[in-house]
Amino acid sequence: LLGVRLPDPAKPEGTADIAPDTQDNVGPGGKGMSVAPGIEQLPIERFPKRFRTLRPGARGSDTDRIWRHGTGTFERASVAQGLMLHPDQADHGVVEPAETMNVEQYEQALAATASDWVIDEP
Amino acid sequence: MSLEQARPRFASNPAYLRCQRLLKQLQELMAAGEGESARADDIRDAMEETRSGLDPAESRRIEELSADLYMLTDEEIFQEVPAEQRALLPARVRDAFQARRYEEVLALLRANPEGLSPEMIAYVRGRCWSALRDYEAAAWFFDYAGKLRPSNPSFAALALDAVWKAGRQSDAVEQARTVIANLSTHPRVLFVAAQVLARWAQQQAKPTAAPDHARVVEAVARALERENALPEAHRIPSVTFLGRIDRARSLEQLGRKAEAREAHAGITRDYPTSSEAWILAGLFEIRMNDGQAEQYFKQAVELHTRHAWPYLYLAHRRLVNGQFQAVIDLCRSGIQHTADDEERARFYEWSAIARHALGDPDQTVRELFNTAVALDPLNILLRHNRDAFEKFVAAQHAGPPPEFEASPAPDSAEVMHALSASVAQEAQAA
Repeated sequence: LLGVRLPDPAKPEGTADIAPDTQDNVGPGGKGMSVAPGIEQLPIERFPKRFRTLRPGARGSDTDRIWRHGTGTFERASVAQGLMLHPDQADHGVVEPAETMNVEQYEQALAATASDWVIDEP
Repeated sequence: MSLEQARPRFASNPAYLRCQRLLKQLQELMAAGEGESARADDIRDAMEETRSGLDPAESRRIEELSADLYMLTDEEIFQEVPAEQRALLPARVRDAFQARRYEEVLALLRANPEGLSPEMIAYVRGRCWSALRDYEAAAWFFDYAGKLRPSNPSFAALALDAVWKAGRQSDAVEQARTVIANLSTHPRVLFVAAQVLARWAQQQAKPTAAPDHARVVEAVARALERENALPEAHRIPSVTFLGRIDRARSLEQLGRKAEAREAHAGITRDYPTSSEAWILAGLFEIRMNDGQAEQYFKQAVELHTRHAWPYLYLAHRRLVNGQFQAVIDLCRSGIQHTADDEERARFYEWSAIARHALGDPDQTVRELFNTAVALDPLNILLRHNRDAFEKFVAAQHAGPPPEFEASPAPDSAEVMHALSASVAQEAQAA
């Protein structure tokens, strides 16, 4: 699913992608929807098990698909209206709000990119 | 020079350990056919959360471990290599293992070396993960090797030992008690179970520990009896030795001192060339305030023990008794057996005092004192002795002779701990 996990009291602490403030606002700061520079850099828990011939340690769900959004270098840049790519490690980054906005606006901004994503599986 | 502290890595990094445990939970869920469940997804989310605490090498090792763990469900996908290369793999595995290149061994095993049975691959994996100090992972593979070949007691023994070393002490103790309660347990597993329980009991208050000490005494006695019925080739003397030491210590903790003394005597009788046996017997006598300790340490020194402690003990005794030439000889030997700066400082200091007493040149004595101070600059007693000597020299030997203060005898409890760890390490290697 395209989107972010919001804090959920039923889920273990730390599993939310972004934490809205008391006014339900979110903003830049290194939190958001996780992305990787390429399929080789996906962590094993996100790499579907069905592709284990390529990554023998894969532990991802087989109901998951691997999606790609555009091509280009993995560096801080605007990726869509209201969204910024924020790489935080060589193999990981987040798509974060480009500026402070309501959490619903952020989710809508992410949803608006849906048609730009293509399945990119081995 | 950077003052920044090095970040703990791999099994010393809590994020790595957490990710590893989550991986095992996910592996178990997937093995149970629940890999697509909400619980599995929660674990995946939690794993992703730990990623920020891992560096690329740690992430890579988690991925490699994940690949290895597919072995436990017989789903491992081996790396494809040409047949002629595959035939060479066992020799490469052996060479890499002997050279202690454990990560290379693990990588080679992922190509399914020809002629290595699954239990042998699981066992070697356990040894490698253990050597990489990843005892949690080691325990999983030893346990699996034991399931594949229950008739080999070493697998169960190694698995139990790895659970303890992984820091899961309560689990290890529970398993050890179960193993001991089973009357058909193989002696090798009994010895390791007794060792786990003995280590546990040593950490507990005396009244709480007594039942476990009693279990250790009984288990080792049973293991020894059953071991006697085994062919010589099926015995591992270092494991037996350690078991007997555990029994002696537990007897002592139970207040059965005469039996403990007899146990130590039996060990020195049966392992007369083991300096550790003599040192441990000597340490027991020190705790009993018995003057016999000295003869045991002399025996260890005559065996050219690689442990410095008997030299320290005897040199200290000779110094107090004014046998200065003996002090010099013991210190000269003792220095060869320790890399510990504080211990080396003591040997140099006592040599200086002994040489001064024997009338050696001031320069010789000064150099020895200065070496000692350089090795242990915060030792107040040592500095006091060096200053007393310099004061005497400055007065051109006209004043009263320097009043040296002999440092206290080395702490036997500390030595006991270090020695037991050293013996246990040898038993594990065997």
